[in-house]
Amino acid sequence: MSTERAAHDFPIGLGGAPRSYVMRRTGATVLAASAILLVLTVFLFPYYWMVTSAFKAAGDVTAYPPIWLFEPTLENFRELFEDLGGLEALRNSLIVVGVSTCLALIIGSMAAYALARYDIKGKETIALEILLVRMLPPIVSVIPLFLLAKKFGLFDTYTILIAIYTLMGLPFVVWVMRVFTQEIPRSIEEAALIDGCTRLQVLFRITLPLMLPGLAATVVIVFMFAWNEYLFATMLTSSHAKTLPVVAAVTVKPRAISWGVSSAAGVLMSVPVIVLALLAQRYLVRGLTFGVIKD
Amino acid sequence: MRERYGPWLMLTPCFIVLFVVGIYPLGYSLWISLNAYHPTNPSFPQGFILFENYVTAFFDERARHALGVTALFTFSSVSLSLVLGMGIALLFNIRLPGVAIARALILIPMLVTPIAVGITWRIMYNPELGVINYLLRLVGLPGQGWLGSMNQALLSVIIVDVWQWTPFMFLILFAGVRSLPKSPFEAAAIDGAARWQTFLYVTLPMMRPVIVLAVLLRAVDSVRTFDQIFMMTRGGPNLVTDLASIYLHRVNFKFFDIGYGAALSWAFLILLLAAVIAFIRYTGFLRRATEAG
Amino acid sequence: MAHSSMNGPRPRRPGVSRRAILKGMGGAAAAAAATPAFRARAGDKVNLNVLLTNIPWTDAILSTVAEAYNAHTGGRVTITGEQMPYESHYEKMVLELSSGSSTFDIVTSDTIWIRQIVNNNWVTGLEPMKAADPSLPDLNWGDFLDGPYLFSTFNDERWAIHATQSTPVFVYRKDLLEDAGIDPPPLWNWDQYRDAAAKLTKNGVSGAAMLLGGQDACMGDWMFRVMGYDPNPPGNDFLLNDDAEPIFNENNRGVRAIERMKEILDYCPQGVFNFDYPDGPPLMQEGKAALVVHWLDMWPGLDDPSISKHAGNFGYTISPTDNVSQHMVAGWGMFISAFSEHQREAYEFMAWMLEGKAYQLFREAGETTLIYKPDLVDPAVKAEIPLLEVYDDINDYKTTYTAFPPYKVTNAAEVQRLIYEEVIAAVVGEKSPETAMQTAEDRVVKALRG
Repeated sequence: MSTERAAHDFPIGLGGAPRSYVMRRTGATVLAASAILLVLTVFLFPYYWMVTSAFKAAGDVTAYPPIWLFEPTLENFRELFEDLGGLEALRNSLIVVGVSTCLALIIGSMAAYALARYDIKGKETIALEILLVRMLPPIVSVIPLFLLAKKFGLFDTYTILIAIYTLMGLPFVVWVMRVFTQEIPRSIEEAALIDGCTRLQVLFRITLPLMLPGLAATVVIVFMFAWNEYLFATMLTSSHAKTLPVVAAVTVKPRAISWGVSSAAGVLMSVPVIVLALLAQRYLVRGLTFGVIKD
Repeated sequence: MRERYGPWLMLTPCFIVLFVVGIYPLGYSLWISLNAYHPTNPSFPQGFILFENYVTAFFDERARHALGVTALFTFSSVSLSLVLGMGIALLFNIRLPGVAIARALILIPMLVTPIAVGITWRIMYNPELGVINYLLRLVGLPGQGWLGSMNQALLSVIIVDVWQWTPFMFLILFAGVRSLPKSPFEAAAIDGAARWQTFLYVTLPMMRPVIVLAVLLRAVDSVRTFDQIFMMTRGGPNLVTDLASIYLHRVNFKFFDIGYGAALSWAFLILLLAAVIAFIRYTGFLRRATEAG
Repeated sequence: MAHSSMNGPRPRRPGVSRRAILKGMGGAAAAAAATPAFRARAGDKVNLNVLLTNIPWTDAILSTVAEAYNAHTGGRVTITGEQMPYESHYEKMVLELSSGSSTFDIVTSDTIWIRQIVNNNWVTGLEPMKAADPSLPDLNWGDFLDGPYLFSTFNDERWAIHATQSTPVFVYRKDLLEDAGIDPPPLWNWDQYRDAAAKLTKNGVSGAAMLLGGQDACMGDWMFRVMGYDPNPPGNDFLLNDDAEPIFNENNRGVRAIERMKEILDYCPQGVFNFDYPDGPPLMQEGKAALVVHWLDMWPGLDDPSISKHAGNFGYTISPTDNVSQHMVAGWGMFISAFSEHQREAYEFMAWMLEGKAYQLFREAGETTLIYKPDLVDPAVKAEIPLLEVYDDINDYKTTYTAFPPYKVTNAAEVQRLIYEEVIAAVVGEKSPETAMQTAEDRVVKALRG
C-alpha cells in the first residue's frame, strides 16, 4: 500500500528535474534535510516542553530563565494518581472510550453497510443527517442531556457517557465505512450468497474481514474525540464516572495552576492516542477525510 | 423478505442512538430557542416568545463581533496551515534515510489533548517567564506580549491552532502528493519548466480536490475550537479572541440565558452550514464525494 | 378553594408545626425542601456529597476532615465530594441546583454567587433550620470574625458557614523598597503606590502588577481602588442602592479607579492584559514584580523557599486607599442544598466544623486563608504564614469590612461580566473611563430587568 510506494522520482514542486540531477546536487539534499530537521524541531518543541514540564519539580516549571537540565521527578505523576484520582479516571476513560468506540464501530458499520449495499430511498439524506448531528455545537446538547440523565438515573454512570460518545463517533464511522464497503467487490458477497450463506453471515464472515483497514482508520478518530472530550464528561458525571479530561482540568487551580501536574496529565492523555495513531498511521488519512482520500 | 427488512434492521441501532442521544437534544434546543428561559432568574419573563431570541441575536453586537473574530481566526488559521502543510508535504516527499520517522513524528501536535495544548502554550507564551520570550531575548530580540497584547493575542492563538493542525493538513496533502501520476511531471521536465512553474501549473491544479477537502474539514473543525483558547485567553484581552464558541459558552453557562444561547447556537450553525454549502457548491466537492462514495 | 382544602383539618404529624414556622418565614420552597431532611433515620449510614472547587482546603475536606468526621460519628457519616476547576464550578453548581438535583448535600460557593443560590431557594439556611428545629445542635460562631459574615447573612440570619474568607492584601518586596530608599508609610495611598512603582521599575523588575485577564481577578483590581473613596454602610454593597440603581460610579469613583489602574500600566509587566489568578504567584516568586495588591488567598507560596526565589523578602499590609480604609471581604461559603436528602446530617457536620478542628486541618493541608480565631492569634501560625499580618493591620487601622462583589444581585455572574467588559475596555484605552462607566450602568440596569 501507500507507505511501501516509492517516493516520486520527480520530487513534485521541489524540482522539475530528473532524479539523477537532484542526487548530484548533494547541497540541495543537505538543505532539504536541515529544513526537515528545522520543521520537526518547531513542531515538536511544545510537546517536548510539555513532557519535560511533567517531570520538573513544582517551582522549576515556571522558573526564569527556563531550566533545561534538571533532575526528573515523578512527583507530578504521584500527585495526579494519588491525590487527584488519576488512576480511577484513567480506568473510567479506558472503559467509557473503549466501549463507545467499539459500539460506534459496530453500529456504524452496520448502518454503513446498509447504506452502501442496499437501494434505500433517500439514503443520501440519511447520510447527511447523520453528519449534521456532528456539526451542532455540543454546548446546546449539554442541558437537555443532563436533564435526561437525571430523569432516568443515568447521571454519573458509564452508560450516559458511552451513549454520547457512541453518537459522536457514529457519523465518522458511517461515512468512512460506507466508502470502504463500496470498494469491496459485490461479486465476492454474491458468490457467498449463492453458496448458501445468509446476508448476516456474509457480513460477518466475508465482508467484515475485508473492512478491517477501514475499521483501523476510524478507530483512531473515534477514540481520539471521545478520549479528549471534556464538556459532557464534566457536566454529566460526579465522583463515580469522571474521566481523565475532567481530572486534567482540575489541575488548573485558581490560585496557581499546578503546571507540572497539568503537564503530567497532558502526557498521560496523549500517550494512548499517539500509540494508536502510529499503529494505524497508514489508514489515518482515509479516516480523517471521511474515506474520500486514499493514501 | 430479508432483502426488504434487512437494511432497515441494520440501520435501526444507528437510528436508536441518533434519536435518543442526538435528535432529542436537537429538538429540545430548537424548542428552547423559541423560549425565554432563565433557570437562574425565575423573576425574569419566561416562556414562549417565538423568534424574539433570533431577532435579538441579529442585533447583538457581541455576537457579530464574535462572528467576525471566528471568521478571521478560521480563515487565517486554515490558510496558514494549508500553505505550511503543503510546503511540508512537498519537503517530506523526498528520499532520505529516516524521513519516514519524521513523517510520523510530525503528527504528534494534532494528537495532543486540546486542554493540554492550551496549558502548555500558556506557559510558553508567558511574556515574563515563558520560554518563547526567553529564546527571543537569547538571540537579541525584544520579548513580546503574546496573549497579553491587544495586537498579538489573536495572532498568538492562531499560531497555536496552526501548530496543532498543520500536521493534519500535511497528512492529507501528503497523501495527495503521493497519489499524483508521474507523466505530467515528466512532460513538464521535458518542456524545461522551472520548478515554480511545475508547481503552479501542474502540481496545484492536480491537487485541487485534495486541497478543497482538507480546507473544508479543517474549517468546520476550526470554527468550533474552544478548549485550547478558553484555556489560554477566555476570549480576552478586551474580547480580541472572543470566538463564537467562547461567547456561546458564556451566554449558556455564565449567564444561563438558555433560550437565547440556544438561538445563538442555531444561528451560528445555520451560518456555518450556509458557508459550507456555498463552499461545496463552488468547488463541486460533495458531488464528487458522494459519487465516489 | 384549593387552599382551604389544604388547610382543612387533617391528622397532624409533628412536622406540621415546623412547616408553619417556615411558612411564616415566607420560605415555601425552603419548607418543601426541609421535609426530606428528616427522611433518613438516625443510625442509618449516611454519605454527604460536597460540591467543591480545587484549592487546598477542599483537598482537606476530602481527606483529613472526612476521616476525622467519620471517626467522630463512629463511622456513621462518610464525606465524599467533587472538585471542580474554578471556571466550571459555577456551571456545575447552577446546572445541578436549578434542576433540583440531589447529587450534592452540601454546596460550596464563591461569595459573588451567594444571592443567586439563596434567592432561588436552592439552599436551606443554617439559622432558619435551627429555628425550625431546636433539637439541632447549636452553632458556635464565637471562634470566627463577625465582619466577614456579612456576605452570607440575610435578614439577620446566617445561611452558610465559611470555609475561607479573603480580603485584599498589599504584597511588596521589602528588599527592593529598601534598595530604592522608599520608607513604607503605615497606610499607603495610591499616589505613593504609583510613585513607588515608577521608582522600582528597573533591571527587569516591574514596579507593579495587576491581573487584568480574568473576569474576577480584573474586577478585584478595580474594586480594590473603588472601595477606598466613600464609606459604605455595612450590609450594603457598592453596586446597587436600595432602589436597585447602580451606584458603583457614584461621586465618579468608578472612573477614578480606572484612572488609578491606567496610571500604573507603564510599570506593569508585559502580558498584564492576559494575567489571571494563576499567573500572579509565579510572577512574584520569580521576582518579576515588586508590588501587587490582590486577594489574600492568592499568595500561599511566596514564603516557601522551595518554590519562591525571594522567600522572606515579602511584606504584607492592607490595600492602599485614597480616602477611607475599608476592606472588602469575600470567600467561600458552605451551604446545605435544599434538595439534599440528608439535611440534618449536613447541618450536624457543619456544626461540628464550627467547633474548630476542621479549620486546623485546613491549615495543615496548606490553606493560608485562615478564619479560625485561635489560629489568627497563635504566634506560631503567624510566624508560619506572614500573610496573616494583614489582619493585625485591619485592627490597627480601624479598617471596616465592606461588601462589594454583586452580592445583592441574583445574576451576579452576568452583572460582573458586564462591568468587567467595560472596565477592561477603558483600561486598554478603547473608550474613555467616563463612557465605559456610563455604558456599564446602562448594561447593568438592562441586565437586572431581564
